[in-house]
Amino acid sequence: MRILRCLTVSTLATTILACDHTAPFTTADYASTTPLVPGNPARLTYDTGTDSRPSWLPDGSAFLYTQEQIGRSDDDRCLAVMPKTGGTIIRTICTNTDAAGDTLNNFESPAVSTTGQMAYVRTSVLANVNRVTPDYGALVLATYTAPLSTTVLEPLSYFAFGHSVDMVADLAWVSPSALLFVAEQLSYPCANLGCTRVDTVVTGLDVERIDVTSGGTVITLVTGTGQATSLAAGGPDTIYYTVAGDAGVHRRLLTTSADTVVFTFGAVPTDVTVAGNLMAVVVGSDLHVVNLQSGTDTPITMAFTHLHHPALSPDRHLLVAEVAAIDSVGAEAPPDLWLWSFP
Amino acid sequence: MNRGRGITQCGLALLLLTGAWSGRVAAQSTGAIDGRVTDEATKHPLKSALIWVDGGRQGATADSDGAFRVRDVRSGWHRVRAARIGYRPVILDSVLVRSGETVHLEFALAPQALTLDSIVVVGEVDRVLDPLATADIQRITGAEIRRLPVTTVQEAVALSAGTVGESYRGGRIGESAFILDGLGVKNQLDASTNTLGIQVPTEILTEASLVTNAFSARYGQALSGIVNVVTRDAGDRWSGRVAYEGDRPLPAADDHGLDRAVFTADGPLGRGIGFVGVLNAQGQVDGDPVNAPAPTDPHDPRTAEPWVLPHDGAERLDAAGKLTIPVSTQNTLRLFGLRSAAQQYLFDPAYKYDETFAPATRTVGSLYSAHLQHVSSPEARHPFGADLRVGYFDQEFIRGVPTNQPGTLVGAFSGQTLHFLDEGLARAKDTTAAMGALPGYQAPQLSSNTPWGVPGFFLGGASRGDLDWNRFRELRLQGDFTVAGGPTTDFNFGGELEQQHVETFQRILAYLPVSSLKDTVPPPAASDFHPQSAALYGETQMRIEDIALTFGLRYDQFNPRSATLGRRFSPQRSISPRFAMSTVLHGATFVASWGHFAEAPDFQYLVNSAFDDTTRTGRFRQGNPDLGFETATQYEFSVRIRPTDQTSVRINGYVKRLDGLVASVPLSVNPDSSIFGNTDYGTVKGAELILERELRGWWGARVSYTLQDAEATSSNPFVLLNQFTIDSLGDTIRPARVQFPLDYDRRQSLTVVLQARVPDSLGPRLAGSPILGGLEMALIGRYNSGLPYSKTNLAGDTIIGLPNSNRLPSQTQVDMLLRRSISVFGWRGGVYLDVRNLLNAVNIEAVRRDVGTPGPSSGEINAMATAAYNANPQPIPYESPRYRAWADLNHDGVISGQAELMPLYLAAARDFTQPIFQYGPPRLFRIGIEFEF
Repeated sequence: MRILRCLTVSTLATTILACDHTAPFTTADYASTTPLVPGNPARLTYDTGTDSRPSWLPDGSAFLYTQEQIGRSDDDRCLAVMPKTGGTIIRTICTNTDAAGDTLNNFESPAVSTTGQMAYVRTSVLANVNRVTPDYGALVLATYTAPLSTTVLEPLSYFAFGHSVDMVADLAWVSPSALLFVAEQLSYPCANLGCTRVDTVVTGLDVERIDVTSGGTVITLVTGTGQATSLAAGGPDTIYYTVAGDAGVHRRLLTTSADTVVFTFGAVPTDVTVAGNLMAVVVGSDLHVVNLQSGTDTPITMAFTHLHHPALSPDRHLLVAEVAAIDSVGAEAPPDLWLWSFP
Repeated sequence: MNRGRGITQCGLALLLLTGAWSGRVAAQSTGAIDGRVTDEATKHPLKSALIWVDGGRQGATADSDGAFRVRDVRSGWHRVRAARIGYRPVILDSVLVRSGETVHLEFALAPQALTLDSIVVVGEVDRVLDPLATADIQRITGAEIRRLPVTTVQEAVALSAGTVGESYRGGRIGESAFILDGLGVKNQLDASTNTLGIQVPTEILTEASLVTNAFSARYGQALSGIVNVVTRDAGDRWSGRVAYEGDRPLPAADDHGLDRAVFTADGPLGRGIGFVGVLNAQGQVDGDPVNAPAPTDPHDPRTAEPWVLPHDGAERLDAAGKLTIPVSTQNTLRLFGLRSAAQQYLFDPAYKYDETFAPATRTVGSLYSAHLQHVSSPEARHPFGADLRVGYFDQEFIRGVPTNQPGTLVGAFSGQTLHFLDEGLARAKDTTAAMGALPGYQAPQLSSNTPWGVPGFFLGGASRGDLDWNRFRELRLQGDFTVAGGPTTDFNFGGELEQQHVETFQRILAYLPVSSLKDTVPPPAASDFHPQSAALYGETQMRIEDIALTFGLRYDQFNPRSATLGRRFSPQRSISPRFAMSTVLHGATFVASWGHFAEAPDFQYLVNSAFDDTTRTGRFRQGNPDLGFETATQYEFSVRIRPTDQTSVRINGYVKRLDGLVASVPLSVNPDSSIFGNTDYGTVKGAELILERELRGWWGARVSYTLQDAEATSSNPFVLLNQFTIDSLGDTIRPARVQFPLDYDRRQSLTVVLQARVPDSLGPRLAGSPILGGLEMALIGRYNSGLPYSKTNLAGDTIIGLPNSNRLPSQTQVDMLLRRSISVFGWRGGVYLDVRNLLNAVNIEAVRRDVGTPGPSSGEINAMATAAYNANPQPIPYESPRYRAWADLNHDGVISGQAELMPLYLAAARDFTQPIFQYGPPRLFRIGIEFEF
C-alpha cells in the first residue's frame, strides 16, 4: 500500500511538472547578418557619417571600425563591431556619460590581440566648438570585453627619436606583448583664404614599438622605417610597411631586421594589409590585391570613388575597405565600408 | 495630541483610575467561557459545580448563584465539562471560543445517585448576541479559509465589510496593526507604503479577524483597525498535509506561471510538547498579472501573447513553526518563529525590451516570539491570568538592479536569493562614498531593441540608477494580566515596551555624482536611529444582567531618539480613553462605543529621503523628527439581531474623526521642497450591514454591504497638502482647511459569500460512489464602487476641479472554489479548482489623470511622438541596430525623413503608453491537489 501511495504521488508530481509554463513574450531579434544588397563587393554601411579604419578581430568573426555618430550632439566617433558577413552592428564602444556629452570623443585605429587585449587611440576635443587640435590624446590599452577600462600606454603628443609624435596609427600586434604602430606628425595648413577651413595633413614618421607588459612606457624604434606611412602585421616576427615616395611594399623580419621589398607598384602604395599570402594596398585611388606567393596583382576599382584602409580577414577570404564617393569637383564624401570576398 | 509628564506618573494614574473598576477584557488570542449551572429538575443554581475545560487544565468553580467564568481560554474548539457530586456530568463537545469574545453556556445537571458516564452533547453558542462582545469583529477561521477561494490572511480579511485592500474604514494604508497570538507586530518604518514583510501561512491559523471599532485598550499603533491572527496549537497525534496548486496544465492564456506547494505537520514531541510547522513555497512567472487589453500593432510582441508580462516573476518562501511547551499545569510556554522571504522582478514599461536592467525587489521578514501563559486552576478562588510575551521582528527591504538571475527550480521558484548592485554600500549607509557615481552604474540609453527602433521612450543599456534599502528591527516586551473581580467582571492591565532600530538608505540617479544643485542629483539619504515606544493600559468590563460596560484607558509614548537633524526631540505622548456599552433589548444586542486612538507616524517621515519624482514633492524631502501621534476618535452604534436560529444581522454606524495625520507641507519658497507635518485631518462616516446564514445543512451565506464617506485635507503624506480656498471670482486666495475624498473613499461595497456542500446521498453514483455528493463549492462575489481620483491638465501640474472629485469605474469580481474529497490507497485528500475573477471582468484600477481613461489620448500620443522625433530626427542606416526593414519604405537602406520615421515614433509612443497596470487581475486558475496524513 505504501509503495502504491508513493508511486501515485510520484506519478502526479512528474505529470504536473512535465507541463511547462507559458513563457512571457520576448523581444524579437531585429539584427541582420547579411548586407542589404547581396553581392561581391557588397555595401556594408549606409550612414551619412564617416566609417573608417576597419580592423579584424583575431578570430575573424567580426571587425571593428570607427563610426561617426551623426545622431549625437557631440558628434563622437565611436568604435563599432560588425559581423564578418555584414548586417547589423553588434556592438558600439562609446563614452555615454552625461559629462562627456559636450565632448567630441574619437576612438580610432583599434587592434585586438589574440589574447583579447585591445589597443586604440583616444582623442577628444572639449566643447566641440571651432577646435582643430585635440585637447587630449592617448594610445590606450584595454580589453575587448571591457574596452572603456583603459590604461594609457602613451600620451599624445610625445617626443621620441628626434621628433614630436602627434598621432599613432595602424596599430598591429605581433605578439601578445608587442604592439607596433606608425608614428605620425600632424599639421593643419589653411585650406582657404582667410583660413576659415584647415586641412589635416598627416606625415608618417616611422614604425615604433611598445612592450605592453613592461608598463607601456618604453617605446623603441624599428630602425630603418623612416617615413613609414602604413603598417601591417604579417606574423609573430614579420611586418609589412609602406614608405612615403617608395613604390615598394617592405617586409621586415623584426628579430633579424632583414628588410625586403615584396612587391613594387607603378605608383606609391599606402594602407597595406596582409593575411596569409594575400596583400592588399591602396595605390592612387584604387585597391590592389596581390598574391604574395604567385605575385599576381588584382586591381580593384570602383568608378567615382576613392578606396582607403583595406583590412583583410585573418583567413584572407574577406576584405573590408573604405569607399568614398567623389563628387564632380573631386571632393570625397564621408566613406562607407564595403566587403569583398575571395575564394 | 496629549502630552504627559512621564510614563511612570501616567501609568500610575491610569492604574488608579481603572482600579476603581473591576472587570475583564479577554486577551486578543483568547476568549472566555461563562455561564450557569443549574439543577435540571428544580432549576436551582448548583453551587460548587466544577467546570473543566479540555480535561481540567483550565476551569472554574460555580458560585452560590451557579455562575462561573473561565478566563484566558485559547481561541479554538474546546471540550467543557460540568460536574457535581450527586449529578450526572454533562460535557459540551466542540465549544468554539473566539478571541476577544465570551462564550455563554448553560448547564442543567440531572440528579443521579449512581456514577454514570457523562452526557456528551454538541453545543455551539450564540456569538452574535453576546452582549459582552462590544467590539465589531469580523472573523474567519482557518477551516473557513480552506473552504473559500482565498489564499492569504490579507485576502481573508478583505472579505470583511469596510475594507479596501488593506485600508479599513476609509483610512489610509498602514493605519492598522497586526496582532499575532496577542503580540503586536507592525512595520513602523513604512507601513503606509510597504508590506509587513512577513506572511503568516493560513495553514497555521485558528482564525483571523478584523476589529474596526472600539477595540481593546490593550492595542495601540492603529487608527482604523486591528488584524488579529491566532495560530493553532499542535494536536494530540501527528498529522499533516501536503498540497500543490498551480496553473500549469491550462492553455497559454490562462497559465500565469503559478506553482505553490504547502507542507504542514503537527503533533506531539513527547512530555506534552506539541509542534506545528508550515512551509509555503510559491513561484509566479507573472507576479502581478493584469487584464489589460492586448495592443493591436502586430509588431508589438504583446499583441500575440498578452497574458504574461516579462521580468515580472515573483517567488516567496514562508516557514513557520510553533512549539507548545507545558511548563506546569497552569503555565504554558509557546515559542513561535516565522520567516518570510519574497523577491520579485518588476516589469517596467520603459524597460519592456531591455528587461535585464529593470528593477527588482527583495523583502525578508522574521518574527520570533515567546509567550508564557499562566492560567488559574479550576479551583482558584481569585483567578489570575498572565501573558508575558517577548517578540523580535526584523524586516529588510531592498529595491534596485539585480546582479544575478538565479536559475529556477520549479516554474519561477528558484529558492535562491537575488543580489543587488551596491547592496553592501547601501547596508553600510555610506553616504560619503555615495556622493560620487556608484560603482557599476551607467547612464541608461534609449533602447535600440524595440520593434520600432527609433530612439524614444524605452530605455536600455543600464538601469535608472535607483537604490533603496531599509531595515526595521524591533524587540518588544509585552505583559498582559487579568484579575477576576467575580463571575461577571474582569480587570485587565498591562503594558509593552519596544526598542526599535531604523536604518535607511536611498540614492537615485546613481550613475551620476551628486550635484551641487540638489534638484538635479540629490544627495544620498540615510538614517540610523533607535526609537523607543512604550504603552500602559488598563481596562475593565462589567456585566450587570444584560448590560455590559467596558472602559479602558491607554497611554502611549514614543521617542524617535533621532539625531538626524543634529538635535534630540522630546518624547511624544498620547492618552486614549475608550468606552463601550452593550445590552440586549427585545432579542437584539445594542452596542454603543466611543474611543480615542493614537499611532506613531511611520518613521520614514522622520528621516530625509530622495525621490526621483518631481511631480510629487521634489527629488529631496526633509524628514521631521519632531512629528507627533496621528490620532482618531470614533463613535459607533451597532445592532445585532438573530432573526432565526441560523441567521443573523449586524448593523454598524460610525463616525471617525482623524487628526494630526502626516502630510507634506511646503518648505520655504522652493516649489519642489516640502517637509512632513501633523497637519492633516479628516472625517470618515459609514454604515455597515452584515447578513449571515450559518453554514448548516448544505449551504450558508454571508452578505456585507458598506456605505461610507471618507474625507481629509490630503489623501496621503506624499501629496502636498491641499490648503486653499476659492473666492467668489474663482481665484485661489489663501490657505484654508478644505476636505476632499480620501484615496480609499469607496462609497459602496458589497461582498457576498456563498458556501454549499452537496449532500453525500445526492446525485448519481458511479460504482457505488457519489459523483456529486460531497462536492463543496464556495462563491465570493464583490461589487465595489469606484475610488476617487483627481483630474489634471495635460501637463499634469494643475488639478482641474477639486481634488479627488472624479471617480473610477466600479469593479466587480466573482471568485469560486470547487473542492472534492478523494482517497488514494487509504490516503485522504482532495482536489480543488480555485478560480479568481471567474467572469474575467476587466476592472479598471487606475486612469490617466489628464484624460480620465486608462490610456492616453491620441493628441497626447501625437505630441509625444513629435517631441521624440524632433529630438532625434536623424536617419537610421541599415547597419544600425535601430534599422527596421519594414519601415524603410523606399528600401534605400536608410530610414529617413518624417514619412519613414514618424510612424515608428507614433508606434513607439503608443506602445510606451499602453495601459498595463491600470487594469486589475484577469481570471486566474489554481488547480490543486492535497493529501492528508
